[in-house]
Amino acid sequence: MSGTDLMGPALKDTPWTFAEFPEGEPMAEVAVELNNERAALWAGLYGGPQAQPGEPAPRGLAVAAMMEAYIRAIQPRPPGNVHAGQTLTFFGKPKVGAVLTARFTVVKKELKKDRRWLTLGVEMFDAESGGDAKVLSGEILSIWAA
Amino acid sequence: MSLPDTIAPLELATSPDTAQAYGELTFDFNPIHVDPEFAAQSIFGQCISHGTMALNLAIEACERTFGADVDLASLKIRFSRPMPVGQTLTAGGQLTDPETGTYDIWVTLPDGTRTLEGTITAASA
Repeated sequence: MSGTDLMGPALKDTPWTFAEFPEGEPMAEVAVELNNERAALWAGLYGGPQAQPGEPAPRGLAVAAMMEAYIRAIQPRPPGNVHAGQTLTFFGKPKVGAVLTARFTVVKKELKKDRRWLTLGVEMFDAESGGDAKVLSGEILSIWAA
Repeated sequence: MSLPDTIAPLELATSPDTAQAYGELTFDFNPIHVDPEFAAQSIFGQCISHGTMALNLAIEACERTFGADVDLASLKIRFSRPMPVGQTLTAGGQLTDPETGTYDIWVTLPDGTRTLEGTITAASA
């Protein structure tokens, strides 16, 4: 898969450490296309008819795109991070072929029992609707490894 | 809004192939998911499935259950147990509050262990 990085400075030479995340600040913005290849992968995994270009995409396809954006937005990463929890609110349903832009913000950092709990906020918009049609928003809760 | 009492179970048989395909879908090639040698040295001792593979199974189960008249509005979940690659995952759910359209949802391993649990809310489409 490919996309266009729209905002820095989430790419660096060494793995992002917990201490470096700017609490309360926007962090990254990445665009991902809900293309046909992605729809085919989805149908191969979860079954059911493959959504065709121009048809509404399964909700989960947008969530998968959000995860790609999340992975690509913060690189490199230390090995051993754990995705511990997720909240999401869904809005408009994008179509296959839409280009979605995900914006990530560092919501909260907490050290609890020697674990580094990182909460990133995410908002995802459908760029084909002028970039202001929200597809989803939520929070990614991770235990950061380093 | 008429809501079904349960989310119809939906299964996904995981394998190295599904881990690779989900990695391609999400750009997540964390070796804990796709590299048996690396995973063998981890605290899990083996490859584990991507957490959001299970989350998306639950979302897909909700969408198939709800059809065109009801929409998935929100969710809040936690990934409670690792899911060894090779195990079959089953997503399901139960309506707990018809007034707010709230369901408990889960994803289980074949032995009944819940690997994902939380709530979703449904709304009119």
